[in-house]
Amino acid sequence: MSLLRVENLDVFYGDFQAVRGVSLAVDEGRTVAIIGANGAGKSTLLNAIVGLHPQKRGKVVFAGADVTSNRADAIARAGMTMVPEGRRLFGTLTVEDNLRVGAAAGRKGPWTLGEVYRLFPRIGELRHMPAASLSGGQQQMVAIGRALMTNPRILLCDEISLGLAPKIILDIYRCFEAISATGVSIVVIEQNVGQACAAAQYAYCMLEGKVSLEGPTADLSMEAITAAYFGLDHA
Amino acid sequence: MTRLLLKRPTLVAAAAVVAAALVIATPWFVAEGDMRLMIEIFAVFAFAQGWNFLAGYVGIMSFGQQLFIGLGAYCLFLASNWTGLNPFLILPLAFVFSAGFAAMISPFIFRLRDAYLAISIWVIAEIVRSFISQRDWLGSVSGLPLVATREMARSVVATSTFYYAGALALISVFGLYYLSISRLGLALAAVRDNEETASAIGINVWWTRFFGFVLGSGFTGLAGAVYYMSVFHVEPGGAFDPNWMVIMLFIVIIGGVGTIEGPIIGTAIYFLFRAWFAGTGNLYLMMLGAAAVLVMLISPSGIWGIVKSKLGIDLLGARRASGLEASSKKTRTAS
Amino acid sequence: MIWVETIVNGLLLGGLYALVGLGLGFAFGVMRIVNVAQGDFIVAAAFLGVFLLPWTPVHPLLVIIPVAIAAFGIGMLLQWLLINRVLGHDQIPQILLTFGLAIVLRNGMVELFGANTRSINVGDLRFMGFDFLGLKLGVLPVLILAIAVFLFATLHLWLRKSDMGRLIRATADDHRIVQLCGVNFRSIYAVAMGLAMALSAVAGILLAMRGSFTPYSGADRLLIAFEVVVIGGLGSFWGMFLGGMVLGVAQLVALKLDPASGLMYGHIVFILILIMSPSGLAGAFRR
Repeated sequence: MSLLRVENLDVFYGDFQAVRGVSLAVDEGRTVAIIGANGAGKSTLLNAIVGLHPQKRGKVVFAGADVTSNRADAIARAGMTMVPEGRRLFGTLTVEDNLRVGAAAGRKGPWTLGEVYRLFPRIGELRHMPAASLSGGQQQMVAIGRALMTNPRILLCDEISLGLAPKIILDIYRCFEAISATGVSIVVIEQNVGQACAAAQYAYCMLEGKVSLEGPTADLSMEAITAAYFGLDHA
Repeated sequence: MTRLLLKRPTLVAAAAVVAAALVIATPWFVAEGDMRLMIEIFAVFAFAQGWNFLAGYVGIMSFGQQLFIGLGAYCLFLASNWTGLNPFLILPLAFVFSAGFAAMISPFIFRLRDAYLAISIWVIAEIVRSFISQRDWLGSVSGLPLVATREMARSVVATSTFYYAGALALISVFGLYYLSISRLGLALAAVRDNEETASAIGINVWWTRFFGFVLGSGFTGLAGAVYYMSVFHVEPGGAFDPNWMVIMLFIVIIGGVGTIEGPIIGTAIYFLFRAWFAGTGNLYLMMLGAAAVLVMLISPSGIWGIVKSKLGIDLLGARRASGLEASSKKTRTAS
Repeated sequence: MIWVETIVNGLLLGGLYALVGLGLGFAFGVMRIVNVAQGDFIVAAAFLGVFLLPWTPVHPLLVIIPVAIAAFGIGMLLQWLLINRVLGHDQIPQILLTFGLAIVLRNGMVELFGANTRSINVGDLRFMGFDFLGLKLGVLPVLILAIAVFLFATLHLWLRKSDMGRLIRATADDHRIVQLCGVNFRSIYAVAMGLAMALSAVAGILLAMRGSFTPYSGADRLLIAFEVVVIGGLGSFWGMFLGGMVLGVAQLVALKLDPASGLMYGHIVFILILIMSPSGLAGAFRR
């Protein structure tokens, strides 16, 4: 049975429908990528799954329970959280306070302040700095650390490589192996196809709010992905 | 869609003509005492509509519109008493003075937003009230009479005041309608809904808000002058009374902020309330407050909002904003 | 010397004014909510103080404690039952809701208690004075300033150091994102509103001990609170303290010059500061 199952999800902004009938499944301990161009509806989809966006139709099942209409905080306490696009740290709080807020979910698990600092030694050194004063890459690490502090069973990551230097992106993706090793399922949303597919075992490609292609990353050819990404078969 | 948009202003024009004819004919059929009540109803409706214009169309909430009621009244009384001129002829002065005062304070209060802007206007009203209360040449606490109308025939005064009040009410309905479908109205709607989008399409947000605030406040001043002309006497405690604000808010909230029809309903409810519970003093004010709280909890768009969504009736709705809103949301989604 | 005394007394009063603003400013800083009924709640707290006074053991000053606890509960209820229901991008519903509440509260108090002027009797304390460097000062005003400073400092430290304080600061930064950490921001809001009300209630009691009040005093209290917050620079903590001091001194100096002026010069100073520095006094130092 899948840890997270999304069935036929429609998401709206007022009269505008951003996600159309998306279905997907993520198994325990697996890493899944959702790729697609800017505006394909990926972020909207994630926001709807974690309960931040209420205007939706369809079904989100997490750990066997229907959480479609649950609030985001209840979903986070149940073990599903997100690293939001643009990091969205609590800017006036210190790095350590940011991480401690993550612990407010009250879930037991392997992730503690010490473990997060072991994963990202650099932010351990900066733990008394205001989060807003950090560089983009460091902030991204704090954002991932904050999400880990909730000890999630599944971690959704929204565009974590956006605006970061290639070397830092590489560092962050390397950490996913360590995170995955603790049994956490991961969903990464990316515009950066190569990076995401390398990290994931399964990928969905989104185009104009719909899933245009899916399959195990090993079986997906670059041509098929390119076509699904840009919608070339329509052209 | 096009058919409706083309036809509605014409229909509204016809309605305006009928309404104006009714107002003109009224003094021949209605006793002077009833006319006085109608003057009050029209003036209060104009106050409410002035606030509604600011809150619902310009996007500026003010808790100090009593400032302009008082300013308009004092301006008219003083100008007429000093110069001996007929107050009915110099009435536009009340508009000019109130609008000018609004223009003067805007650069400072516009630095604040939302409730802080709202309360800062109230603070200014309090300053003006205390200032006038302490100046003998302004009549101090006991206020000023309107000297000029004493020598005029009662019926002339009553009829003239009634026509002015009627004109205010007509402007509050039809003027607001035509304003809301004009270029300025659309600019105001754009600024109210989303300042960033508005400035992106080339609207000067600050000046649009400024112009709306000055216009709305000037109108309130004019209505204040007409109201106090009908009672012949103005004093600072009454003219700058925050309870004016309570009444305006009640009418607009109950009826539906940002609609033209809502405050008409609100005004009717307010005066019925007042007639039924006149003897109960504070109880009646409490009920106004409680009704406002309830409306906010049940339907922030007021009674007219419910009517519009449940029955699909839209008489004077010029809010073509819905298309604008949807498109601005689309751009947000894409980002 | 008389002027020095006036200014010192203005500072003592200013500490209390700062406390009047603290509740409003704190609520605004955390939730971007302006509770327009705050002034009338301040008066309601004073009434509660009057009624609890006969049952207060040891010293009348201690009546602050039960009133603050009651106000905390009422604040939480207010947030849970009413304000949380109208939260959203648009600020107008919450402001109008609290405005309606203010009207209900004010007129309800007139209806129940009459429009008479009252005060909270603290016995001899009110008339005790002492000489300090040749200045004649009242014991009560000094005590009140001490309470105000204590509450400012305690709140400041609590927000810095405690778990709940951290959650409140995080919620103030981004109430959407704290949900991803399993935090229901509505609960945090309820706690914050409870605190804001408790602080306001203390201010209300102290005002009623120093001076007097009627059911209509709420409007003046709200304006003072609002001016303190704006002068202080919207949500700046110690800026508010400074704002209170400025208002207190302005008012007492003006009363000395023009005994009939009431709060007018305080209002004028507020407008002048607004004209000179839009972000308040703190804005002139910060950033």
